Amino acid sequence: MYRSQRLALKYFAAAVTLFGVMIVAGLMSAYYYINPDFLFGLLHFNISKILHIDTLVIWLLMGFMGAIYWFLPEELGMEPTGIRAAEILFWVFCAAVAVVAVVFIVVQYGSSDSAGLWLVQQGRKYVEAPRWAAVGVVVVMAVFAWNVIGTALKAKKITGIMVVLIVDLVPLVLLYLDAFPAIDNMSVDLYWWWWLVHLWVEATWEVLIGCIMALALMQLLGTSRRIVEAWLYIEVALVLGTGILGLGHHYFWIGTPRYWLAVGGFFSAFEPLPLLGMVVHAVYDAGTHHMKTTNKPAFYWMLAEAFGNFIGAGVWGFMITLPQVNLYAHGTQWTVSHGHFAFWGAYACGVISVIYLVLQKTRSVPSVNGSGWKWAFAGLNVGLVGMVGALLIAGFSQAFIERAIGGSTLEAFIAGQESPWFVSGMVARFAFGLIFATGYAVLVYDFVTMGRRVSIHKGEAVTA
Amino acid sequence: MMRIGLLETALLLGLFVLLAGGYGVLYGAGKLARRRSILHAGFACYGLQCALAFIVLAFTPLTPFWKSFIGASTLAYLCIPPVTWRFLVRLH
Repeated sequence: MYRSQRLALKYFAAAVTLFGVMIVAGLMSAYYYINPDFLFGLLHFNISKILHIDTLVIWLLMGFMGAIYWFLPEELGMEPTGIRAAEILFWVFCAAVAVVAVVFIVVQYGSSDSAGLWLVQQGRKYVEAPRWAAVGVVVVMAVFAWNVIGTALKAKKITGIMVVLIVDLVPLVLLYLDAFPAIDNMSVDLYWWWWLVHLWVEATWEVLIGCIMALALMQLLGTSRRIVEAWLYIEVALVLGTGILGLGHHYFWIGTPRYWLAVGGFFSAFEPLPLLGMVVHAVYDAGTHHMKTTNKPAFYWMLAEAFGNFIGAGVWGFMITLPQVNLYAHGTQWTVSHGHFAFWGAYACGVISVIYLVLQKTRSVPSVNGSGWKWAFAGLNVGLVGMVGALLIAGFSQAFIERAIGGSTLEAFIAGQESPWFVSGMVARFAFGLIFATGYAVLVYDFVTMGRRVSIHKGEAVTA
Repeated sequence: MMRIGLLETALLLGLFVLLAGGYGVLYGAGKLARRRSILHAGFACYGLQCALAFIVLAFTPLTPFWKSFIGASTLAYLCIPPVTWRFLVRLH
């Protein structure tokens, strides 16, 4: 095994751990809606929400990095350049995440000066980490980019996937620089902040997961390089074609010119079209292989990624993307429902699929199956679908009662929050969150014990 | 009331894309299994999608710009599964 692949295993372990932290923080955030007195005076709702969202970003990022560090030496046939720096930075990254989390929980708020920005938190949604930690993220991402680009140059081997990956790494690093400015004008600040949030998630991350899935498909199903690369080019063209100017759907109500209503709505409304193509591709792959593979969990999680991405980003997104509708739906639990489903489908399922693929290799399991992964798959997906369903009902009642009927007044806001539809939606979300957490526990058990447990089935030893 | 009509429209739009997904899945499954019944079920999904598009065009408070967009995308959805399928077959 290459050193890079050992580093990948560490990144996966860290990613799965942070996935757990994200779930705990998510359950706490969900419980605040049911019992607003929860941890009153100790830990505010917004801190648990920050922990929930920031750990989501970090665990997915670590999952992506783990996947690239795993596939890179196999793709290029050599140990990545600068692997020592990457190994050191992994521990620095983990320590920084832990310190930031402790500061968020213990200190929570800083003063409104540069010391607060640098040492406590920046106060910018999703990138709340204090500046020293944000600088650290840039360094980690720059070294990651150096590992990939430097290795490709040294190996003198540039495959189609590597070209796409290298081109993607440039904006991936540069866009994070957008996490730093503290602009006084809120409209201008939000304008640039969305470049980071939207263009990371709906452009660079989409391309990154596309590269990872292409590499995984070649290992999992033995799909030829010619096929995955041809599909990758098309996917990248379509996703970027619709995703980049789809940025405009975040500009509807932040004080930008009116033309963004047309631009944002138009390109966002195109976004389900390439996702439908991916669904058809998934059906084709599943059918031609007759659902037969030596790694069923990796295969099913990959299918879940295609379908989850289509439903979460495509169906849920299209409901609220036209500006006329978005006027009433934005900022409600309806948007939260879309966010949960889209992140789960587009990214989380893909990372879980790659982890199963990697564990099969590292533990030399000839065929991965058993019941553990099925329970985890069921628990996580039932929990997730239940949560987004409950959030959809709660969000729809908010849009209906608070916005459409009440006209967005404070009284209407209170009426929306007290509506039985909203309240029961929040209770159902928490209940399904517990199912999701149970699925996560089974998933971790399956990861840890895969290839290590021996069960007796019909008189013969079977490793699962 | 226009505002409530827009929220109902949102649900119709979600269903519109969901039916496109049903069309894509059933079209692919029908092609794989070489079974006309599944293929027809896929086209039935697309037919329902067209019916929904008609409801959106005729009865919702969306502006003409967005209505024309829905009309055009209904045609685009018709082409995506067969074009993708043909491309995949040629590629493999």
